[in-house]
Amino acid sequence: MTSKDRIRAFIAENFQYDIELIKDDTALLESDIIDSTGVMELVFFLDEEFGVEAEPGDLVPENFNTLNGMERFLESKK
Amino acid sequence: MKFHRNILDLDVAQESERIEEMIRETVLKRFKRRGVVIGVSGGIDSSTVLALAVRALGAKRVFALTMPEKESSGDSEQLAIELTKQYGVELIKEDLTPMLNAAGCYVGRDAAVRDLFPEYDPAKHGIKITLPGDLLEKSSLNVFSLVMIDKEGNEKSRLMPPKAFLEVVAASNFKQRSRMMTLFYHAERRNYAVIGTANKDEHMQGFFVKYGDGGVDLQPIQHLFKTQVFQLAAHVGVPQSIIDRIPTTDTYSAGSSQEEFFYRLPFDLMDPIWYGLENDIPAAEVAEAFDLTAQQVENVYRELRQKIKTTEYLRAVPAML
Repeated sequence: MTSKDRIRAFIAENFQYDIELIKDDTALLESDIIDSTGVMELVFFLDEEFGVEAEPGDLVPENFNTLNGMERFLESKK
Repeated sequence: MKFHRNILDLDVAQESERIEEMIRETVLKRFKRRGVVIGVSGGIDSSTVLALAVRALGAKRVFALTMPEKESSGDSEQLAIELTKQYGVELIKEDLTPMLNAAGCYVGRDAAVRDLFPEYDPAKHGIKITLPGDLLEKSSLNVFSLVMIDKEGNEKSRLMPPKAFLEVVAASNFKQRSRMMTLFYHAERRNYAVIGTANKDEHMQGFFVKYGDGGVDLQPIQHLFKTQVFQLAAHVGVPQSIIDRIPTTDTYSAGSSQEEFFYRLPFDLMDPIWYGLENDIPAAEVAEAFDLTAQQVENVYRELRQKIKTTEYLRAVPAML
């Protein structure tokens, strides 16, 4: 399972959203999929699942708005 | 009309009269209550509403409460005394600490804080919650940090995991909800209404506690931006010491300005930009009036849209079929 698929599965389960509709470039923050508490849950999911602890400077939409962005963010932290 | 930086300037005399009429109509005629109870914090919003209520109903029909608890800032009570003395309003003090202790407010919150800072000791440390502050420069996400400050002013900060954030907020919200209960107790025993003090910034961006400070009978300044409340405050004679005070949350022990806790911008910049958003004014036009870039204004537009959308739950009345 790729990192994107693991995040996709988490989003679908946690936010009760149809997994088929979560594409790699779906804008999760600008749509109604993830709200402000949801952003926190996502940030800490990445920490627990991938061991990547976000710094305050990492908390920008480019890193969390799409699955592609999150994958790039995880790669940059390796 | 072209956008300009003073676009939110009010005709304060006319607006004051309009609000006074609304208070009279709502309290005396529609709700058939004999007056209003108000919680005063020493802040500009409650002070302005108190002044408007006195103008609308007379000082004898306004009853004020100051409701500190052990973590409240000390000057709030002094300012409340100064305010009510000036307007001739009766003021009583209700210390909410015993009620909050009994509800588990402090114990629940402190346990959540220790999940992040095991060394946390309420006798030695203050805490506060903050958002990233550089909204104009980059569009950062609203992930809260918990800041712990010792007596020497040394700070430690950590991003808050959702569990700790929700626990700290839920426990802290006991404060606003216990104030609401206390206000209604005093209102009901007098056959008065509870008058609210929320402005538009608080209401629309969700900076209030549902059934806490949001649990009131009427909201006479909810349609006004904070910057307009400042204009009205000067018109109705709110003491300068209150007008000059930095707006705080008065919720967390370390003290926290509303800007660092929540809004991320000064009101005199955020409010006119918000007007631009509401009136579909292109970001570039707003930017020009404030010597900003269109991108900076777009960042604020995005933040406001997001906050309004994600806090809809707080403003919703109970859902029903």
